[in-house]
Amino acid sequence: MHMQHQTIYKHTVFIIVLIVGLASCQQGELDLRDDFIGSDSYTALIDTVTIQMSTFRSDSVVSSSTGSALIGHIHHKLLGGQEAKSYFTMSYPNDLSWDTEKQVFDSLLVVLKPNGYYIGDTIADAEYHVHRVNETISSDDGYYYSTNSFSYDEVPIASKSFHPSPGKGNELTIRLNDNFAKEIIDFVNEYKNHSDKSTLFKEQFKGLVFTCDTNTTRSAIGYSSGDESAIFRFYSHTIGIEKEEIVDELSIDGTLTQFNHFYSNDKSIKYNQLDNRKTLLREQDADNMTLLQNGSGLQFRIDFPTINNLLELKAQGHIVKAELRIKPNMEVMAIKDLPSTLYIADIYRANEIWGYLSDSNGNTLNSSLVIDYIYQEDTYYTFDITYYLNSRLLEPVVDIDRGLVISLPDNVGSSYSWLAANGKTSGNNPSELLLYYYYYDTE
Amino acid sequence: MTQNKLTLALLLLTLTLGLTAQNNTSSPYSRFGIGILESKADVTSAGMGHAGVALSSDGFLNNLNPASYSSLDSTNLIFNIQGRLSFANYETSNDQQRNVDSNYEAISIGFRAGKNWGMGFSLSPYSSIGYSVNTEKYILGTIDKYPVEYNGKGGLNQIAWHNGFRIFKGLSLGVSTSYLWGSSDITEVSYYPSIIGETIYNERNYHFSTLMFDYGFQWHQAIGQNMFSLAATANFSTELNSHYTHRIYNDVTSDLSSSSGDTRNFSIPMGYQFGLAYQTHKGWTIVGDFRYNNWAESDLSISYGSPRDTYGGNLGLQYAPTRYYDSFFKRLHYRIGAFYNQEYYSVLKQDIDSKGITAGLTIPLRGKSRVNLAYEYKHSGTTSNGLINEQFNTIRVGLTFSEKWFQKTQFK
Repeated sequence: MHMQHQTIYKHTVFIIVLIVGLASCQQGELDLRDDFIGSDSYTALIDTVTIQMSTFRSDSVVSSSTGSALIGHIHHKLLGGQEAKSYFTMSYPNDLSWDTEKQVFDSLLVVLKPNGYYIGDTIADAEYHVHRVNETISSDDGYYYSTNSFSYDEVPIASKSFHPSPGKGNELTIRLNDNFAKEIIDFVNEYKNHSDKSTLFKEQFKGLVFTCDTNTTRSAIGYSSGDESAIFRFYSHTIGIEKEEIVDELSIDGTLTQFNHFYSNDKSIKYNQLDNRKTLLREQDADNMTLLQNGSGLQFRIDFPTINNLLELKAQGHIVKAELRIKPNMEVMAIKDLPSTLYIADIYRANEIWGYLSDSNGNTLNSSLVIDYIYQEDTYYTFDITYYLNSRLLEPVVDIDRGLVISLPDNVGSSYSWLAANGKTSGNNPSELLLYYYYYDTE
Repeated sequence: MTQNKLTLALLLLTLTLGLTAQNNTSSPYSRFGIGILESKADVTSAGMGHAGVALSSDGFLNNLNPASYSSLDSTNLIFNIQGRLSFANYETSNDQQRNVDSNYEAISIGFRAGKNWGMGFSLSPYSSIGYSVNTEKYILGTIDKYPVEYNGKGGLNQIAWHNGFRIFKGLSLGVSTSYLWGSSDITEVSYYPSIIGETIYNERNYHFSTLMFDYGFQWHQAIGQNMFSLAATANFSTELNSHYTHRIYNDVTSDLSSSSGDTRNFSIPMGYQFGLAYQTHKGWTIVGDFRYNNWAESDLSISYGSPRDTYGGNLGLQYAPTRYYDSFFKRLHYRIGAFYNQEYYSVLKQDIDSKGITAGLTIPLRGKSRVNLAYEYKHSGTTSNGLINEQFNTIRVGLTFSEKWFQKTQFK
């Protein structure tokens, strides 16, 4: 009997320990009416903070060392005629040896290789001119900007009218004036043993500039400007028992100084009148629109004139999501024109750009493009600027002169990529800031 | 015996830890006030519809009435531990959720401290909070909704010192001095999948404590060979000291807001219970309790509802053989019971009530030790107005040791 009691006792202890050891478990979920819980917190899409968009022109678009020489002329829907010229400096052709006794010059070609970038109407024939630069190409800071230009001989040393073939793998060859070629050969023969031949060469051959006939050319095409892509090709032959053809290929400039110059012809257009970065063209003064274009340096900024209103809410809640939607003006743009990515950066009063925005993980923030292929109405670029705005609210004094600037990430100094965006005041698909605010109650 | 003591000490330790570590409930109604109020009844009473205010602590520790401690055996130390396993089914008009919850329910010890004086201690949950509720809210100004998850846990614990005094034959008075402490830890998590927004955690912790007194009497009157008992307990309104910490944070940075301080106090209100019992010499016991609590005056704030005064009743029947039988089944004690409780709140204009039936068994062991089992079916709530209908099947297991720790061995 005693044993039986002991067994029951032990089993009971075991059962109690077992009960308690059982982890609570759950199957299924209850979705209840919100008012069962009765929490005072809520989330709202608020319009407390509005945006103001303006266009300005950056005067510091670096167009040297981009690896791409842009040449041509386009007629932009909003900006009118725009011309891109490409400057190259020249360097002493170390690889060119010339036997004055036996070698006879035939011709000199300049060869450019398209890199695949083009804009405008490539069906129309283009006409390029090559001019000798007659002013020393130099820069104080080592960079050349899209606004830089140097004077050149009015009469070109070469011209060519051709049907544009902007695809990679093609080659554009332009035969240069024979006198120009012979001048190079003569220089090499005379100075090849001179210790300062490079400097002397640069004094005589200051550079070349590629321009186009703006009456006929309707496209701008990008060419690789690397030292093996933009070259001179000398054709010659030897005199003797057997005629021997000689082809010498030389870099235009072994030190790779090349830059692009951009110019907009129509100064009656408001955007083209922006001449320094401090001048802002407000969306309200530009058909409720803003414009961004590589090459010409147009950018637009977004300001938050009522951001201080958020300070009043600061103690009551938190931004759970701030989404900036930039809506392209699809009345002037086609889907194929839309840049795939936009960058967004911090900008201060006089359009001084501070740096690209990053997310909470420190990654550079870029946009997502949502395309409405059917109606094109709901096409927009979206930026998640939650982290940015929440950080702004932590500033001791929220400075309304601080804004955001939208730019393109690539080929700023070597392309005409562009974006026309509807302003906040546009009656049709305005750009907007969607601010989702979580209001919490405090005790 | 040494082994028993060791096991007992281990149980005590794990119980103390377990009391605060686990959730006793998964009921969404536990989000109101201080949570779901727990029964103080021993598994013995739990088998009789939780009735027993008028029962003596005879063979078990009756924490329903401190006056019952006066009848503790002078030579025995009684130790009780009990736990429960509860299968819950929650239903709204659209959804269903099933939970299994388990926990220790109580640990108590009782002994004779003087000639007419019985004393005891107990540690038990006074109320329980534990729920996880999902809902959706509109993002105002849009047609989008975002999911919100509410999690609550906590509850009040009670450690009590029970004293029962026999004033003269038949009449006992008692008082329980309790310290109540605990918390209500509520987290509201807002997710924004539709806008890929930050996740916001809104966390509130309320901490409560107070000292509380319960008074009781029992009067036992022999009627022939049978016994009639009348009893009552009461407590005064007791204010709970409360303070809070409130923290809001997200999944990206750190605290968005944090504050702490005292909150508006509220009370465990005045309440009383009456109990009657009639025990026959053939081993039958019928017992009934009636209960009232003045919760309307508690100053508790109940969202989308209000506290209300509560009434409740319990009824139980027991058969316990009065002599020893060789047959195992004839030695067992058998119980049935039923109860009706009003919960202390009305929500969305609905009064929340619960009712249930119980059955119980006691397996007597060596000496006066016992294993007690009870089963309970309980129903509460309603699916009206978007509320929840609840059904519980609960099994309770209790072990009552009764050891002669105060009697010296007279013969070796």
